[in-house]
Amino acid sequence: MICIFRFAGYSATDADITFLFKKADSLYLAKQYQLAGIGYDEIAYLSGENVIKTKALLRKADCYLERKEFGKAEQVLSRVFYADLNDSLQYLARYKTTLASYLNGNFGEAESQVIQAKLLIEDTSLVYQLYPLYVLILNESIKYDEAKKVLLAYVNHSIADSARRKIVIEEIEFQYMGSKIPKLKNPERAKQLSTFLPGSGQLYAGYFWEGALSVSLQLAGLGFTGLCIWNKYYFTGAFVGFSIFQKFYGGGMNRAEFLTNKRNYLKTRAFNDEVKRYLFENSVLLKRYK
Amino acid sequence: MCIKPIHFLVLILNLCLLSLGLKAQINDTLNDAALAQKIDLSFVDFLINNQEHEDALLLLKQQLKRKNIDIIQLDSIHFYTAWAFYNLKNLDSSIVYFEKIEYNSAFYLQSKFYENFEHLYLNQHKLADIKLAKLALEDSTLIELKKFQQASSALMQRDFLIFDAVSSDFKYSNFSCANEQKELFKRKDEIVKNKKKSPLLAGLMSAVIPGSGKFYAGYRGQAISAMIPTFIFAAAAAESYYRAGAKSGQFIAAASLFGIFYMGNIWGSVLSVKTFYELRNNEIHNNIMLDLHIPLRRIFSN
Repeated sequence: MICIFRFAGYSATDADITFLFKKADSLYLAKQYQLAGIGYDEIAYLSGENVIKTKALLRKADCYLERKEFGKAEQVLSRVFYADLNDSLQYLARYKTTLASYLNGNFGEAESQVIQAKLLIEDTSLVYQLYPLYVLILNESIKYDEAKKVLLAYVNHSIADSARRKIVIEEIEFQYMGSKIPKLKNPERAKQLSTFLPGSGQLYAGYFWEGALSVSLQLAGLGFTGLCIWNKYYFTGAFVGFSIFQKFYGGGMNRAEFLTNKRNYLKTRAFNDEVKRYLFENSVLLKRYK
Repeated sequence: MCIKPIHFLVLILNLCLLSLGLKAQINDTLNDAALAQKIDLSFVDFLINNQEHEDALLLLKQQLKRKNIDIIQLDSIHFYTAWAFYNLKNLDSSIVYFEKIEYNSAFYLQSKFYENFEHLYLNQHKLADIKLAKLALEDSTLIELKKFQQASSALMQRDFLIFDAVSSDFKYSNFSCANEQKELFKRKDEIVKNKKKSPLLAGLMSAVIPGSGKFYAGYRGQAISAMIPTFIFAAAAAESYYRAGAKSGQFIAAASLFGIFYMGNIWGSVLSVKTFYELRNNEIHNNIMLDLHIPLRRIFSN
């Protein structure tokens, strides 16, 4: 019979904590993640020791990660108090926080956790284990040079066999070679280009037909203006025709900016996904995560 | 005996359903067994403080299924349930549980004030008024808080007579709500200044000078943007009339566009009077709610 959550006004002994861990773990294994999470939180509540509290919070975060509630996992891990944790537990806490933040799209916080780990964990072999995840975070933050350096440092540290290391380094050089790294375009420049030469911003972003359409619509507006003035409809030409032109002109500028952002996103997504695939397919690189 | 294939299929189907039902029942039993025993409510408090509201609610829900709960614990369970719902911004459910708390409970007064705050938030002013009137208090801070909530409710209902009567009794001596009590008078001034304007006048103004009705309603920027296209199409229509005459296609097209913009502008001005008034009203309402919340946090946070 499972009977946790029963200690009214109670102070837990080591045996109780062990018992509670076992019960919460059994709920976790039975995929009863919410109940398991409550069980782990009860341990965090009852225990006076920070190490036990931290272990319980890490397990609770696992429950949220299983439920794909990454924000909640991040929130639970923010309760970890790092002051008196040994290196291996601190590494685990920082690794899970980094992972939860990364999965939650909070790349700034994820990077900050890695930087803190580098500063505060004395055992560098543990810090190196964070590096594959750090590479993914740096890629998402479009810091490709730094990501490559981190990955190379990780390989140099983790692969003892020099022949194998050489092959992996060549693969990484290939992944991060200049022509493969996305060349990002400046959305502001695209807008400026379309300001001076309609359609050129779209062309700069790599959308030729959109540029051609934008030019055609603006020319149609100007043509209508000219036609009206030619037929002595001065007001209609000046106001209606010019308004049509002006609307397409302004819209074209904004569209050029949007398309540049879209192109940048697609290029970075494709590159980052390829690196991610490479890391996950390479058993040597991720052996410690498996 | 020979079993037909269809019978065999039905048997298999029944066994599958039975196993699914058993699995669900086992899961329920697992939940109930895990949670059914008496818990330390300070653990629930701990969960709520750590923003684990769903977990707290799950524990509390199971606790309510227990038999032989004493009245003190029942009140505590109701309070924490209401409090978790309040934190999840599920105010309707929160009110239901706050209402269940007995007069003798240590949570009674806090519950009543939060309950009334939730009624006011949900625009249930009359309910809040009735409940506040019934609330008997001895503590001077809570008496001031009660007057503050009553005055706020009156202001939200634009009942200035009651507001003046209640607010004249403010002592301003209690740090917890003195500033917010003073702020209520600013809100009253804002309400008085936010007068209802005439939609008819706004429509007429826009009929004479397109866009002026929106300016009158309070939307100054929109007035210009409404005026420009109307004038452009008016100029185009006038030019077409002058060049090609009243029966020409150009004139009919330009005049139609002008007509659409002109009428749309008048109708827009009529509506904008109401929307601008409501927008400003909502802004004032939100400020009152914000001020209502601050003393509650000061007095009951511990």
